[in-house]
Amino acid sequence: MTGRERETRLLLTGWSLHLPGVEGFDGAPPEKAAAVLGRKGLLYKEPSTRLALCAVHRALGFEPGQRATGPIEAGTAVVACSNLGNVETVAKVTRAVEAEGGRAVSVLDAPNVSPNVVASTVALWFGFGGPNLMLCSGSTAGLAGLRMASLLLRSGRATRVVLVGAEPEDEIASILHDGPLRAGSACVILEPWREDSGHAVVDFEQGEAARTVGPGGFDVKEQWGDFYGAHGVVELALAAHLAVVEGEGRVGIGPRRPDGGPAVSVAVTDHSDEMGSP
Amino acid sequence: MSGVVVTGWSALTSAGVGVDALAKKLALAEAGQVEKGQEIGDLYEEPLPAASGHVLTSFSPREHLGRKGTSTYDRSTGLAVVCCQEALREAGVSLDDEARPRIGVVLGTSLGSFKSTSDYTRETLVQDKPYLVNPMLFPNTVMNCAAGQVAIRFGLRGVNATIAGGTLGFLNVLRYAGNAIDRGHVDVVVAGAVEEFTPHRAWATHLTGATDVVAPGEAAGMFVLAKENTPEWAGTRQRAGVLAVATAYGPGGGDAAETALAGCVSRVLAKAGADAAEVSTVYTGEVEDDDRREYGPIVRALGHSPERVMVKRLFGECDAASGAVALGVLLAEERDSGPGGLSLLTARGADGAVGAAIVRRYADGGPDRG
Repeated sequence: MTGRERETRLLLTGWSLHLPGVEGFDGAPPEKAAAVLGRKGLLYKEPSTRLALCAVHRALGFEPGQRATGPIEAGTAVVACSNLGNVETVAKVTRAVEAEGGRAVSVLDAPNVSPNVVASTVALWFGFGGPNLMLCSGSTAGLAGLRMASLLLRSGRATRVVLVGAEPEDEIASILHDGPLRAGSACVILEPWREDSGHAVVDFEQGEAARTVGPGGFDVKEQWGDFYGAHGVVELALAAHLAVVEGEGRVGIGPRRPDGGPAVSVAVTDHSDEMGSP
Repeated sequence: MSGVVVTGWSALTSAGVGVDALAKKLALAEAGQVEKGQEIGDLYEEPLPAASGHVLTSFSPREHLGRKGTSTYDRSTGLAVVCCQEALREAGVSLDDEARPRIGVVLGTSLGSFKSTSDYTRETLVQDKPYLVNPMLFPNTVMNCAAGQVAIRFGLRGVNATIAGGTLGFLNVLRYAGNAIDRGHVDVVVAGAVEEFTPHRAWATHLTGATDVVAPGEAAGMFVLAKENTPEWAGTRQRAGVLAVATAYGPGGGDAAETALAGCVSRVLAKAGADAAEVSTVYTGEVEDDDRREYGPIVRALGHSPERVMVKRLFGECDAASGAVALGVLLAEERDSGPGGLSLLTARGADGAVGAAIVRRYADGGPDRG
């Protein structure tokens, strides 16, 4: 392998799908997040924040209730993707100000009106001290997050990136989205590509894939629902699951081209065969 | 990004409010002069590390904006909103219903208002119960407060972003704004950076050792950026062209950052299709002649030694806003820019982040675009 792989590949060292009500990938709904995370510290945490924490918890391979211990990990970055996580609180606070004035607002709601609460809470909860980014860029937020993660790793800004997507399904979010949402979260943990280790890689090069996640293949939106800002991360984590756990080898992401290959050149591939490891 | 043009701008610096105050100070300053700033007087009750700094001593947002809607503004929000008003006026932007959705705001900062954040946090500790904190002041604690208030005040409904880039803040803003225009998200961006003078920032600058040579300062600089073929409502003059911006990161600082900065300079030249010989002036974040952390890599990349301007000597350490002050100085100065007339703006952060922008100034407000 040469330097080219270092530019087009990332190591995928962990992933999770936390999709309440989806068979095979079910997870605790936000109000029962304590079953995964433990009880302490969840007061006033919003549904999308809780879902994001659950996804990261599972991607790290933590036991239920287990907490991160040890020093702050300065090299670990958080990239969170969520568009409508805080809109219910924003609407609630705005209505309270309009109806009863500023004094009627609970101070404990204050952090939740800031959209970056998902990214910052994940960092505080798990002790990730690296760059902290929140992407609210619509349906493509997950893929934009992957691009950000790739830049952070390739430039040496971070040695590990926790890419997490989470979206709620409350009334306000559905109105703003102009369509039904499905609550869920997913997480992938990315590291710079190394020759001698790893199980799965994200490969940005074109290549024929055994299966495709997306229109023409397993269409997440059609099969499970619209995870909106988290969609891209859900696809990535699902592709990792199919590639490694279900032994599909290389799984493409994106709509299928007429010739059969995935249109987007992101593919998750099981790395173990290539490495000759068991 | 491809290049954008500046159709108008303004700056609030220790020289005062607006372009004229800045130009007047520049005309009076001697080459290489280091200013200690003004007496801060009774602006704050809290003790300060020094009695002087680069402050706008009698600044009052109300004087420029009126009473309505300004009562909860913190200092950096006030500076940003007033500066934006001046910049839009200077550019001659006509703010109607057609224009407003097509104008964005991109603002650089280090921490937002450090004072608002720490005062609010302090309140939660010293009040009897946490819920006695005034929720109306909460918006000031988020970093994007100033950019948000600017958009609300003038009804600018395009992209609204705050970039916390520290020393590189303003260069990041130019790059982000150029991309937003390039990709068609907006036609115009009011791009700038703001930093307030408070005891919090004064102590932070003092304790991190940044005030050895220059005093901490406050400033806001806002620039109306547009594509060359933008509708007339965006202003009809071209003051300057921001031809290209590049940023990079040299892990750990040191030699890696030097190489990264030289790389940025080469990249902006290539992107702009310019020759190194055309660069006559560079505006750096350094403060001393023998400090060549930015100038060294620039000279290496260009192959010659252009004139170096260190704006922090006159206007203090304004962190994220120093880059905006530099572009303001570039535009306001009566400088014989020589053949080619290109300038570079550079920045280098302690962590190894570096960046460069290449700017062409048009004489006398530039060609009429109308």
